[in-house]
Amino acid sequence: MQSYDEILATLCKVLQRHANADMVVVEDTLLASDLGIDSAQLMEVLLDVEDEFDISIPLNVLPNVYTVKDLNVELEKLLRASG
Amino acid sequence: MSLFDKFDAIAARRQALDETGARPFNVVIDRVISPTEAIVNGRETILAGTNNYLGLTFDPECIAAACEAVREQGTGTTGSRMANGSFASHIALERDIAEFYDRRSAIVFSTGYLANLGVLSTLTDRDDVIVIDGDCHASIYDGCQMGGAQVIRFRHNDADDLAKRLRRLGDRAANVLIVIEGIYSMLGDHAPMSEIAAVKREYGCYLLVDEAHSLGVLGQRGLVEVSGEHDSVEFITGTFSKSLGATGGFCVSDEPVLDLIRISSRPYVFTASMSPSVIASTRAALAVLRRRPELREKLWHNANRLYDQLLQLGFSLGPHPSPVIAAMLTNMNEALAMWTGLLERGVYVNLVFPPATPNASYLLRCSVSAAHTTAQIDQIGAAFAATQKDFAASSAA
Repeated sequence: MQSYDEILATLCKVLQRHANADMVVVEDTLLASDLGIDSAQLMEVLLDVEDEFDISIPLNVLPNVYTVKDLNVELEKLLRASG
Repeated sequence: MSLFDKFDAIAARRQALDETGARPFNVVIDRVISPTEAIVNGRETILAGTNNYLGLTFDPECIAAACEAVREQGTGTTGSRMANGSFASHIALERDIAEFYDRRSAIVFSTGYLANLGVLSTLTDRDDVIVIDGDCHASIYDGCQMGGAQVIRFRHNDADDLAKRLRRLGDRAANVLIVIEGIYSMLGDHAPMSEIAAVKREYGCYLLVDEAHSLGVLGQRGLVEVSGEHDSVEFITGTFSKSLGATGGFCVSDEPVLDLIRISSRPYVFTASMSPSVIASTRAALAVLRRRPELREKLWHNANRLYDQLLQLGFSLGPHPSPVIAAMLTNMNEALAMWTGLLERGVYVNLVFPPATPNASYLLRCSVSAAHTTAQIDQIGAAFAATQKDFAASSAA
């Protein structure tokens, strides 16, 4: 089981691929506005995140996900649940 | 913070759009002339964005049936079927649709949106998992959300990605409901039905196919029919508002549970039912659809012709010809200029903005009809060519 910080490092690496060259993705980064993408593009980014961790992120958890930290918390729960 | 603050962002976006002079979301059709022509802004305009695939909105049989029904049964049902009772014509339409699809039973809803909302929200609850194609219509997303099931998306039209997501679910996969569409409304592409059905069978899931844009377009009944996958699909939903030229929606199934969905579905129970004239024109249109395959042949002739013309002009289109033909643009100003230019040349198409579009593209979405003449199709193509040329010239200046 990966630690919170290990998940965060991987998550930031994946999200960085979708960010502008001049921005660094960190725990407080706002997923949509800081990355400069709309809600539909965010869904595409999440598909990459899902593949990186080999899990599926239910849409139901997303209404409360605004920041990288929020997403990391959900990922940690999902990874724990998937064993 | 005010109750209305949340609208600030959308108000700013609308104002910015208004300042360009284009009013793509406020088009008023002053007078309808035929299934393919109307007066818009005082100008005769070819309608190329109406989803009127078989052109039946002015079919004499459909109009006569609607007129007779309104005289005999009145203008409306004034309530839901649970409270006010069903008209005999509701039952007759359900019998027609079930027989047409060769299924045990059917439920009709007041709109296609409500059909997906009603079925998905009732069929599943918080203990269930629904896996949907990422490009599914908003009615499917909303129906899933209303039921409270866990909702997982798979990459559009990617059966391998679907399989990957089912594998991740482990033992839960066997009870999953997969949802796809026959033809997707934005790009006009259709689902890889056989591949998805194979994955469905491998994992023992259930499959629902929304044939809203494929009824009467792919074969008589849609993608399930032309792919020969009747037995792989538990539920088919659809709408009467496109190829049948009316309003209303339906679900057909061989599953006895459909009868219980009827009495448990809030979007069915708490909505006024289809009005008699709409039922009558729908039934007449269904009969025309079955009797006149030449309409579908004409539709595909027109679709292929316009698709080829737009392809020749260099537009980026969906992966294959279809009655839904969307030119994908990457730039909002170009999309606005093109849409305005087309309208000024007497051609109305849909302008669709992100996030309602795939790949954050701006779509000039055409929907072709069997009622379009070949000359009208060529006029649409010529209008695209002239508008494209104008935009290129203005960009270079």
